Amino acid sequence: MNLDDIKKTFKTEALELLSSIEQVAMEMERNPKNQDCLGQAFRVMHTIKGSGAMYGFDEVAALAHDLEAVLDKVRRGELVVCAEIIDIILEAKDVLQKMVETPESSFDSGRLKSKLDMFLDRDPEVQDRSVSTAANAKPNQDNGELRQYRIFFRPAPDIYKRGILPDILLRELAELGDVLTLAVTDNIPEIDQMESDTCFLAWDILLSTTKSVDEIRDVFIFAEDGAELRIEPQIKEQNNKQTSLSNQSPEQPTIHEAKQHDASAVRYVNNKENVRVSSDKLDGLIDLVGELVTAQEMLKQIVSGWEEYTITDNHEEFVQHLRENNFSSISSLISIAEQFTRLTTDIRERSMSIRMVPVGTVFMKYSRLVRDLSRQLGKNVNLVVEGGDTELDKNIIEKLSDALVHIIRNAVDHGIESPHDRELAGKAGQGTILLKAEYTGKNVTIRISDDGRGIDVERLVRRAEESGAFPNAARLPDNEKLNLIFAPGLSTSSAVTDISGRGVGMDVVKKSIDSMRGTTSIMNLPGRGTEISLTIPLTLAIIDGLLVMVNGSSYVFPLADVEECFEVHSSQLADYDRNRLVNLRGYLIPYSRLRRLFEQDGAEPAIQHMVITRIGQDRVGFVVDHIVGKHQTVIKTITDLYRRNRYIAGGTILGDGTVSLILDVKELTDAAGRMEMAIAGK
Amino acid sequence: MNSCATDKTAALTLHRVEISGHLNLDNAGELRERLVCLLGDASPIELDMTRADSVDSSVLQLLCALRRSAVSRGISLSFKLDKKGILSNTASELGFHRSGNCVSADLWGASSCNVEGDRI
Repeated sequence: MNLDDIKKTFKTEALELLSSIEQVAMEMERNPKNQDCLGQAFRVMHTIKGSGAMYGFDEVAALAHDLEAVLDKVRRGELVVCAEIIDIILEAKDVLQKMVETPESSFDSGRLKSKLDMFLDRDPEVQDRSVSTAANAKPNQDNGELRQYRIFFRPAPDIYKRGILPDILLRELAELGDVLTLAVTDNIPEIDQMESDTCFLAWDILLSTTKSVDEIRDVFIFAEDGAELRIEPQIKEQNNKQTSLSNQSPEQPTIHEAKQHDASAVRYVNNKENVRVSSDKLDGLIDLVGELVTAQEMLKQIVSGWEEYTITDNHEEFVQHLRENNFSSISSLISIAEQFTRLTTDIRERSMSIRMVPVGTVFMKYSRLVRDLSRQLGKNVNLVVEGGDTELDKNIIEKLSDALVHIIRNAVDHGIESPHDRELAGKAGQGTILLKAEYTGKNVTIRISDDGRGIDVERLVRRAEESGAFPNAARLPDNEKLNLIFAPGLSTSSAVTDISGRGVGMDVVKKSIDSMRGTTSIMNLPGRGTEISLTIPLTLAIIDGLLVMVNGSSYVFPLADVEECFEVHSSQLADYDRNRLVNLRGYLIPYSRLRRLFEQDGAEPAIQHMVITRIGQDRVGFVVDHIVGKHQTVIKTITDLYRRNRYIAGGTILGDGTVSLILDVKELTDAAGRMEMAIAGK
Repeated sequence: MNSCATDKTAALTLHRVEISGHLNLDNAGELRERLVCLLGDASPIELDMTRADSVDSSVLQLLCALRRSAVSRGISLSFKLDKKGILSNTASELGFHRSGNCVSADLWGASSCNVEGDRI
């Protein structure tokens, strides 16, 4: 591992820790007496400080140190948790995150630093507010009494490989008081049997300090993984310098500092470089690969010796060879082919599951968004998250993030009323936004609902008409009127703020969800709230497709968009063509010829096939030459050359090596509508 | 640096090896290779560390290991330390001065070890 790798690891871990501190800070705000949260925040800053300094992120380390000092004051009861403390934790988190993400940029953290200094210097203005209830705070463990601790520390053997030097920890420990340190070298092997980057050392330390066990333990916080750490308060409370380390065995019963904290820390970083994968998933995948290797060996065994027949092209001898073996190899081949099919499906599903991450990792950051926005707008809004464990493809989660920000901003800004208005409307002063994820078949549906005032549809219609883009908006059916919210450039907000009201948000949301082959729907209860539902496929990487042929070219319909297929004779089509509608069990469904959409020449076969698709509430049929069947489609991105063709969502490679185009049914439906209207117009 | 031959100043008499600069985790692997080479024959070894600028625990454990190997093979090992005491201060800080079972005796000189009474 070189320095760059180590820095990258630091970056990943620091971002993960910073992401967790946001949640911790907000939990502290909700429950200021929660000592666990405070301890966790302190440890996060301590870790970032230590590892930042070690990896050369000096500015990060300095800022983390200051924040750690503020948190320490809170822990000691010199400051209490108040809005200002939470603000400064969140602000510091933002600055630290930028510093870690783009270390090459310069940062003006002066304003933040001066705020931190105010807390650290106990500026009266700040203290008036934050120390007001300090008398009720938990009594400080550090009461100035000098205590002696026996510490035994055996770092994990790979501590050097992780880029951590125990030397630094020992120096930090020495800053807490008087130390007597003894290096335990018993495990060091002879030099030709040792690896230079493995740590064989341990330390036995006597520390006289006024600090608490917690504070001592904090020194070792980022070296605790795989380490043996015991901190034992000594009975004598005096500074007994005569105590000899060599007279005490490190093996005597002591307090074992278990690594309980951070056990529930989020293991996924919404980071473009890394995804943390549970070892269960990897183990399962490796098991399958093991089975694959076995199947391959079986295959090799069966076909061994077949080369001589194929090379000489002597089929009779080959058949004779098979006959001599009672054709057993043929049935074995069939069995192996079945095994390969099963393994491929299992491996595909397992591999895909590695890319699946819980949506809660994205949802977490919206608590902060809601907090900041509601403070800015003088509202009281609570974000409730449900179904955070629901998993989605990592790429989809990243794409989803911006859409959710838009919707939540709208909900806080336009949906939820001010506390005064809410009370007048007979509602609780605190508004609620519910963010809920759940599986719906092969999709995940994310619902964002609020208990605010709902959408003023009449105003929306007026705005649509005034904009000139929808002169007949008032004549639209009610459900379509509501969908105007997704039209570009429309907003019901009477004022454009820097939060929302420019009418670009919902348009962007719809486009973004459409690009993921998802659907967007909205439900409005005037005076009671709004619910927006986003339905998104679980993954974008491999889909089940329906392979069809048109004039010798193959196309793939995503199977999720296909409702049913049936044969149509040219005479039937001629009949349907009069109204351009197919009568399917009493339902009239518009259709179009794929051949026409892709401008394919050539005669139509006498018997063709109709593929009925459904996007949201729209059902549209597409006429194709024939249907090949279901096809597991590995989606490959297509070059810019094809990007201009909006009907094509991607490409895939078929079993025979040829390329097939994956159709974007939503775009095709729109295009078919336009084309049929144009034909009807003529 | 990895060649054993270049480290020998006088074959079968004395391996006098200078180790200079900052001795830390980054170059501990290279240093280990060099030190292992010195144990190839029974010649006494003298490590001249007078020009070492700093040392960390990874190198100190390496010196302990060297000491252990030298003792088990009956090879004499001695250290020349810097006058500023950079090495001995670090070793003291990291608790090696009290480790009577490895390198400390030679590294910090007989007097300090005798005071501790734990020279090996």
